[in-house]
Amino acid sequence: MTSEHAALRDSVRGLVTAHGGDDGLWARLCREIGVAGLTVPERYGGSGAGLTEAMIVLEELGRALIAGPMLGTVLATEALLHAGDDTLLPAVCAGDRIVALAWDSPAPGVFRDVLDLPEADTLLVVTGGNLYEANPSTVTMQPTLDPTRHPASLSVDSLRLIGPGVPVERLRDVACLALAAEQVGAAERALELTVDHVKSRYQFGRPIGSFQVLQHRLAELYVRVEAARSACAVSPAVAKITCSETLRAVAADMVQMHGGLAITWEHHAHLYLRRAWASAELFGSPAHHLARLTATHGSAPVA
Amino acid sequence: MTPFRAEVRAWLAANVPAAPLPRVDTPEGDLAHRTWERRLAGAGLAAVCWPAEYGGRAAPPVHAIEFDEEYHAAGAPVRIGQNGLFLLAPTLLTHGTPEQCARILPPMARADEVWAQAWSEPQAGSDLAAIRSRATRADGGWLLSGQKTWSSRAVVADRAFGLFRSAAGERPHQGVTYLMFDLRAPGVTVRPIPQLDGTAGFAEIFLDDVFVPDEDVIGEPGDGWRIAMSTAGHERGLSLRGPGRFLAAADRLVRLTRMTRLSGDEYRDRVADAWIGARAYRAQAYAPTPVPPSATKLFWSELDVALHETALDVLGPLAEISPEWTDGYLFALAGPIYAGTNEIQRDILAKRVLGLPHPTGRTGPPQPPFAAMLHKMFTDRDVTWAALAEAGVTGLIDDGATPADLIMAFEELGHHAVPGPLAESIACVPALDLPAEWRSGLAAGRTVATLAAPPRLPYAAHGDTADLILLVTGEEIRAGRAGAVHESMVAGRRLAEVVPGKVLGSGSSVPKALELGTLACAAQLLGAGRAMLEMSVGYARTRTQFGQPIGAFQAVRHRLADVAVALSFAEPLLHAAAAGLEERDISAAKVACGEAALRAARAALQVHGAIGYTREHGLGRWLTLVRVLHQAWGTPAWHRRRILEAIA
Repeated sequence: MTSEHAALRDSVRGLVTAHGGDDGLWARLCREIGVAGLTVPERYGGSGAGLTEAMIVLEELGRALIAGPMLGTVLATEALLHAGDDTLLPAVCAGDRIVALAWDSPAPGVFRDVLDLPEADTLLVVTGGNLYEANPSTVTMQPTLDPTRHPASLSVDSLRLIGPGVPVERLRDVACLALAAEQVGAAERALELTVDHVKSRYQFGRPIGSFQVLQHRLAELYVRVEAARSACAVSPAVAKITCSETLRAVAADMVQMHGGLAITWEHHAHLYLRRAWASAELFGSPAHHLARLTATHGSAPVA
Repeated sequence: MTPFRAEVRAWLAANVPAAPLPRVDTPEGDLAHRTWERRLAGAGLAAVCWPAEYGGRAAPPVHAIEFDEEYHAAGAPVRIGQNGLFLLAPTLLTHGTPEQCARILPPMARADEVWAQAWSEPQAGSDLAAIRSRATRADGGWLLSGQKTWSSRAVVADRAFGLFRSAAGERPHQGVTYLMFDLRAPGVTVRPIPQLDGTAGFAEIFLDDVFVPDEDVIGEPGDGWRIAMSTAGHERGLSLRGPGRFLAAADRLVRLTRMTRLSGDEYRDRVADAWIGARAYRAQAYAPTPVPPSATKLFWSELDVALHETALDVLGPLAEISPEWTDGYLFALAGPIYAGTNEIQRDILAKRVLGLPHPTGRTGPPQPPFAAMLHKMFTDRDVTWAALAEAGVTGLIDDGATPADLIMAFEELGHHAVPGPLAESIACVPALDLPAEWRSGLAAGRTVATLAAPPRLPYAAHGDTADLILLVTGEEIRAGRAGAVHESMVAGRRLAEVVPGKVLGSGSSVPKALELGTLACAAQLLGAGRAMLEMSVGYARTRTQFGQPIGAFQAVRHRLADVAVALSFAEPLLHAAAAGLEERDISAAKVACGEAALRAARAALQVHGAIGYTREHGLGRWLTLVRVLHQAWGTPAWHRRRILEAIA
């Protein structure tokens, strides 16, 4: 990690710590750090950094389980850039507007896994490779385990064309990578919280973290989290599979090592577990991406 | 592709020998591998990152990884100089003097001098700081005395680098000196230790007042532990194990899965997992932020085992006669042991990276070892067929023994890893509708029979030596004779293709006979698994490290407890299967006994450490037997499918 990346991480972490998940966080992240425009060139009001930098922000938000508009914004700005928009982008980068993007379409006219719909003031949809501004005609909030994120299914009417040339496969790849970054952050934080717990929880006259079997399990989890971070450099499908499975494993062990405490609602362990299971299914399950991977790659995969 | 990678690829394509070189532990192999190293050195490829004056080309570290990838992808020979090139050299470049580098590195690059590592001792394995071999001050240098073990490459090497106690310290890590010595010097005796995979890859070194000049001390006397930890970092990390081995193996696994239609889709997820693991390791190798060597070592060693286990499972019954995979599998099994066991790596991560408290202090002086008592149970292992007949085992079916009696006998046979076509000749063939005189020959032990019964048994085990060979297809029984014979992974076991002969009969005896063979095989697996658990528990009670029996450590206790649980839950399935002889129950018993036995085998090897990897110890006979029997009499996939068909 470069010193610029570390500085970005630290400033995001500072704001997240100061605000928690309250309403003022997103505005300050946009205004003071410019997180919404990280992947947008300067001429549209962004900073022209890139997806790597956006993923650092997403990792920090994932640590705190903040589902905020960052992930959806990364997707929406990607679509707007492909479509050649120059009016919405500056407002999105400034944090003045929040757009929700519908792109995953299981059937004509129907979309699922649409993020940030309650907060958004604008709905964009991708269909047939074109980007439209649209009004939702029916909206169903998808049932979810995760109280921190509320994806919606919807259908739309009255489309207004913004531009052509938006590749859905690229959006899927960006979605997988962005979500994987959140998952790595959540897994890392869940592990830290668990390590803190076993250092301070005493049983049999000593911290439970002094027992070898817990030490070894935590060491294994550390290896998995680092491997998951590495997997983000391989491919979007690999990132989605590995990070989903890693967060599930870390969250499950977090619950186990917190014992009865984790079974309470007050403790946050269950939120990590819920995020793990819900995010694993978002944008395609690990099994779906595995099938995609084995179908596309043969003996000489990803150069 | 970088120009460097292109150069390496082209050079390897033009120079890698078409046929494999003789094994490195033989005199011809030693010569051939040294000649190969000289060609590499001549092309400036022996150690690309070293400074030019020592034989390198001062390339950036990333070139070493690119070289490693290309090297493995090209199927080039193993590096005879690996211990020097990848462990000693980086240590010298950091802690050695320019004089030492100039004197030692150039002949190392040309393989004029091959190096061995002399660290472990009988009482100092995982607990390396417990070393007792001494370095005593002498005029102009040091005198070395003591015993080193598990010394890789020592059989063929010219020199060795090692750790010696040069002064008493308050703590065991103090007073250790890092020295280099000549393996041909007066006072040095090297005794090869045959490995479980049949090679003489490592050796014991005995030192009796061996003189070493001062110029061969690395760093300051007494500062050896700190320097050794730098070598250990190279051994656990990318220096020794670049991603090339795993990428090449993963690609071969993907090709294998495409080629073989034997196993359908059952292993698709695991193949994908292995491929992902190899790519993740590669991605980490190129990542700007390195992870601690202990994490790297845990990752690659577990990945290597998983990758090869998957290949063996994909190959199913062909696995045991596919040395291109079984060799890699046996080599991979050593990974969680050498370079510091994975238990030690987990402890290091837990303490140094996660900052967890130390579990318990040392509890007193080390206990004397009792390792010798272990070998007792292997002494009476030459069980002959005549002895089986005398004990009434070969006549069980003819005497009307129940399936419950049969599994009791087969558990014992597995417990002692008795070789031969046991399930074939004792449980299955006698239950077929055959002429009475054949059956009496079998019962009396005069006739040893075997059979092939595709798809459950594609080959006839021990078909090269059996008196009677049958081929069973559907409900038809034919006489057969041995065609091509293949050497199995289990020493002394050979599989024969069966050439069909005349039809002997057909009928309802066939299905039940095959079920009895399968049931017997499951019982053998359970018995062998139990034997390995017993060996491991006995060893963990008596083997002392860190001042206490290793069985006192939670990680060892818990792992063995898991094995006991798996065996305990397989056993009732076996008994239920024997009671009802339902196909579904027999399949469940076969899968559960096999999985439990494999779990016992992995745990047993890990608990025994390097001693379990020797041929002398004998654990390998159980370990390879359960690997083979798990795939025999129907693969786990075949049995799982049969269960699903029965219950769906």
